[in-house]
Amino acid sequence: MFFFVVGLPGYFSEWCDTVATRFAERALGPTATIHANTLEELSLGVMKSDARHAVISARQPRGSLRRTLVETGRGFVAALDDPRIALADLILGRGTELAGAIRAVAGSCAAVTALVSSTQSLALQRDRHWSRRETTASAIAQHLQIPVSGSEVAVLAGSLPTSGAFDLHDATAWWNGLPASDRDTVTGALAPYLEGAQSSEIRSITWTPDLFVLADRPDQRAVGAVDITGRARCLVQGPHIILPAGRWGLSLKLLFSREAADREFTVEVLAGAQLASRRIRPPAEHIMEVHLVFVVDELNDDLIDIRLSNERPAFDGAVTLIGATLVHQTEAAIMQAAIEAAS
Amino acid sequence: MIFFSVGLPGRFAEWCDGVIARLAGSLGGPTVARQWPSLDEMLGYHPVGRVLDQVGLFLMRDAPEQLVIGARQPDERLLAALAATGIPFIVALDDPRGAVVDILEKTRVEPAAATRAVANSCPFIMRYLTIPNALTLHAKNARSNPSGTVSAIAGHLRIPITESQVAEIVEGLAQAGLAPVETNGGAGTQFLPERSRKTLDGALAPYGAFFAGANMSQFVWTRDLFAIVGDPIKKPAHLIDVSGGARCLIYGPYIHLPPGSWNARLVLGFSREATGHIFLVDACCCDQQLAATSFRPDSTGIQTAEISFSLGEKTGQGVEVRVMVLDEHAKGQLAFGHVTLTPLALEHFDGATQARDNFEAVLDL
Repeated sequence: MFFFVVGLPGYFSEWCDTVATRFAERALGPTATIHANTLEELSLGVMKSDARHAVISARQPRGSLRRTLVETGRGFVAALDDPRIALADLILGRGTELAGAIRAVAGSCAAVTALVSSTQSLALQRDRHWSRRETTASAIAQHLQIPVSGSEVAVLAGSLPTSGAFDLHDATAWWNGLPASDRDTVTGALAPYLEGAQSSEIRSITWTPDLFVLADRPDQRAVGAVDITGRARCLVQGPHIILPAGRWGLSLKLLFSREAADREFTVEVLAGAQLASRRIRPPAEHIMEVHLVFVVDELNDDLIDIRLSNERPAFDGAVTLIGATLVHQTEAAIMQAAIEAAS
Repeated sequence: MIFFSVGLPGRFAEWCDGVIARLAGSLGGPTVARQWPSLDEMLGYHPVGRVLDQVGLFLMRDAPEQLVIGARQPDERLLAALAATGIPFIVALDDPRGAVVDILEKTRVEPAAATRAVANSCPFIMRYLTIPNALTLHAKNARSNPSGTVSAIAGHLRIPITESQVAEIVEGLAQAGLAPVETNGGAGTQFLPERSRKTLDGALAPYGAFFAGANMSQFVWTRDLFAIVGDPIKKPAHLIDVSGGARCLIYGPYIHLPPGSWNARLVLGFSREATGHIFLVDACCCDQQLAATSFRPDSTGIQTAEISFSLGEKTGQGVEVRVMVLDEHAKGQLAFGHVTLTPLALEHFDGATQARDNFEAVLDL
């Protein structure tokens, strides 16, 4: 039997995983915890595990897993958190570097948000539910239909921690100590998922160069001028983040040097396969904004990447990635734009 | 638990699936047995999903205690997972032509369609023969000793079983019409027209030889496996008018081949009016052109065109070969013979043992 816990990466989701696993073990026998975001990972986890029961812990449940979960009508736990706290969990608690933590949290927000509105979800908030551990643990057992008694809940809940490895003061101090550019990177990638953002609004996401890497040196961030000298190749790629399903408008801002002018470049958006592409030829040394529209399918299992490539070998020149802005084009927004254009 | 049975879409693999399902059922709890892809999907032209994705789907949807997967196009991801986990599994081998006969007995499809379905299973299964946790079963041996085969399967899958249970399983499957006997009373493909037999032999005999332990020789894809543009039901069995502008004339067969380098030789016939015009043949896979050559037939009669290409791991719909006319004002007629495919250098070919034998022979060890 499988029990699903989806949630943002961090201590609260882990606590929910542990609660579900301990209850299942108590009620049903040996229970594994399988970390799986796709159907394939789920299969692999089951193949590797000897346990008959498992808690499926998904931090970035992809399209096909989400759809199957909804179609089966199975109850699941959604462990929610302020994305900034989840980020602090990863950076302060786990030592994850900033860009990696942003990718993990932003991708998780996109994937988990798509499930929270389901009637099958038990949505639990870290700030409201974690402090009431017995009630919350009991709600988890009830929602996942794991037969445990009230006294068992009390004993198990009492033995589990109630907070992460740091307190909110640490997180605040860490946030205040971040350079402004890092804070911009965090805010740009996570803003649409912060409290108060409505899913029906047009959501704008900004990916700064810190989230991109040099294609031939993936350990180096694409910050500053990127030398285009050499063979035709992919120059910059990133950010490798999940986006919510729907129609998106991308505006990619690039600064080309004089030597890079009048050369051909390609901008692509990919989710495993190519979603959109445009060939560009900057006419002179200047900032160029490339616009692309693409659609992310509900069943998409792949992370989103933007790629900038030069089409021919170059002897000189540089290109600087300024940033990528994505606007989620909801039907209402498309209609509004059409009305404005008509008037 | 998950049990895997890898095999061709024929009766013998079905029997093995049935044996494993009954053995798994003896472990208790709900048991679900699924074949992936289904025969309908194998007969179609859409790329099939990955086995492990389907396993995940079955696990979530059916919530079985024991899941038996009969994989008919087992991909590289499953191979890697089985190799990494060491889970014991079964490879059910039969003469591929027998599997075609089984499909024809069960369905009303054309022999060419059944041939294509089986040909799309063989290269996937080849890769599974070298994995140490595989128990390879040959239909011929199983037919002569069904009880021994059931015991061997149970032993390999580490499922305890008594002799009476073995007898029950053999009997139960026979009653359900799943005895491991040859379809058509063992008459093989003799009931088929000669043309269909040629199609079967050309596309499948090299696999049959390989599964029997011999080397894999040339494949021949006959015209029955191809279609005419504009009328996909029609086979290029008759003369094709090339007039009407530059366009694709013939395409097919969307069959997977083992990864490696291949030479494809197309045999074509041209009428007098068609000579002097430019034609092109190419090979494609996954929407990518692998190789192409254009030529101008300079005399009437039979001409051949050759292309060589390399294939990576098997994805998408399989290999497509096309014949095109490039001249806008071409006239005359073209006849399509067949395509001969010669393996030049195959990856993972013949398994490690044979490769080592060859090295030792060369080095005079």
